[in-house]
Amino acid sequence: MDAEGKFDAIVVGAGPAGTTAALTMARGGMKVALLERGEYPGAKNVFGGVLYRWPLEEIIPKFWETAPLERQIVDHRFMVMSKDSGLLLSFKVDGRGKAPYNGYTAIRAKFDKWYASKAEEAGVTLATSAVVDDIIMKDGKVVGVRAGPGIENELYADLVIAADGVNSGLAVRAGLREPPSPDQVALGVKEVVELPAEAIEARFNLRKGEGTRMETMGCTHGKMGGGFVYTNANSLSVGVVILLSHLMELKMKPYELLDEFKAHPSIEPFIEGGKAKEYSAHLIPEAGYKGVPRLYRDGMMIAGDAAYLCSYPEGTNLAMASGMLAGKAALHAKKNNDFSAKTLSVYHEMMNESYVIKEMKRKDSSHTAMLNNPRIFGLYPDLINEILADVLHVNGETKTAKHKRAKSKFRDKVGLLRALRDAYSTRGMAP
Amino acid sequence: MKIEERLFLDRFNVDDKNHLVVDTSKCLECANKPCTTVCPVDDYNWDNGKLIISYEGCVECGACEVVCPFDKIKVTYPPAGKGVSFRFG
Repeated sequence: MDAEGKFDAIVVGAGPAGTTAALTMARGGMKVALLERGEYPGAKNVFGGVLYRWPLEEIIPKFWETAPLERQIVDHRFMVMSKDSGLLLSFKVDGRGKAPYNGYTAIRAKFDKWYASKAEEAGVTLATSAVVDDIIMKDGKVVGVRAGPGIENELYADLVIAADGVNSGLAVRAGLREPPSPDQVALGVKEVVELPAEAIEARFNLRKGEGTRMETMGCTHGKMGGGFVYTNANSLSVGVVILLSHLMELKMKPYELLDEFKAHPSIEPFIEGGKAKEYSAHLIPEAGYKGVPRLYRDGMMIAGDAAYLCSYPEGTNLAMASGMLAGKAALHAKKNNDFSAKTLSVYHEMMNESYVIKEMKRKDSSHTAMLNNPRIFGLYPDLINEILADVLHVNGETKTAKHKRAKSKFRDKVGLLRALRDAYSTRGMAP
Repeated sequence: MKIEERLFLDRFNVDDKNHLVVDTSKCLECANKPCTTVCPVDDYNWDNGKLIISYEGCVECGACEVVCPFDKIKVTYPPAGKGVSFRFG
């Protein structure tokens, strides 16, 4: 703070994007306030996913030695499900003595708290239970934030970084984007199911400390979405994600989808006997590259989910990458003592050259194709399972006859040209 | 699992004031009432021609605001220290 008690920058939201931005700025010598509405960082955050080493390693080298992490991911699984069967693919790497690993599972309430403490160590002033209602504007510039009525709840700075999540009230207030529409976000519902570490390792065929991430499709009644199971140290994160506009059409309760998923014969054995410890729900940006808004204006930048910088199956790492570049742009602005939109536009330029935007661009046309193609999440998973069930079932009928039936089923229900078109239009979803 | 059992798992510090600000003037015109189906904790219930809203078990996802076709739902943040606190997340 300067003599008047003013910060150089205010960051709203102590999630991966906000904490990274705050940390980057503080290390560059800026005076930063990090405001979090939860009781502690992570209190309002939910994820079902993997914390990748990139770019966190660039921000905190050897973070895996001190961060509260759950399991190192060595096993990537993908399941194509029908109502009562599932085809499972597993890609497993040799994790023996191979630390550091490419990705880790984490409990966000623990990790986000630890991560924000690293920002505090770098000099960031962290305030929790700090609920920001609005930005303060002056002469067309963002000059601060308001955390309640009256002048005593006003906080001023040269720069505000909104990392306030997918529902970002601040990005909307600043005119950088509209509130989400139902086809720009997915709803995720999740349970944390407690199980002994040994049971998890036995059920997923893992060595001590190793972990699995499993994504599934075909469990959303043909709608865009899927299920997931992530292994934590002593629990599983089990959930279902579905595009909100498709959930509206389906008219099912989101937890009914979760119940179906948990009871599925290919999922139930993993969680059997486990004790539910927490139920949560969260919106996930699904707006694709074309949904990414302008990331800056006079006196303000937006990062992470607030800027829709999320792209299945990655999000946390994209948020950190955007927070890092926003922090760098802020340092550039501080050096020039100019926080105008013109100077801050360097953030968007750096983002355009980054992995984040390049990846989102690559996936964009596929994203649109999947959104509008009911075959992807219903017909194909069902057909694959139906054909395998028929072909693998031995009952005296020749395989030649079964193969012939499989071919004609495929021809009648899909057709070769349409299948090729669908494969081509969704090629961006290739891992 | 019932939603009541699920919510029993979570930690809430419930505020006296409802943070879900709803104008129900258009509910009778609303054909599908998507708030009553998408809410992951059943906070919106249509009962005898009226929308009954509870907020105590709200997990603050914001889906209701996004789906309301008349733009009549505003999810404000519960005040400092209130609302849900995820222990896992």
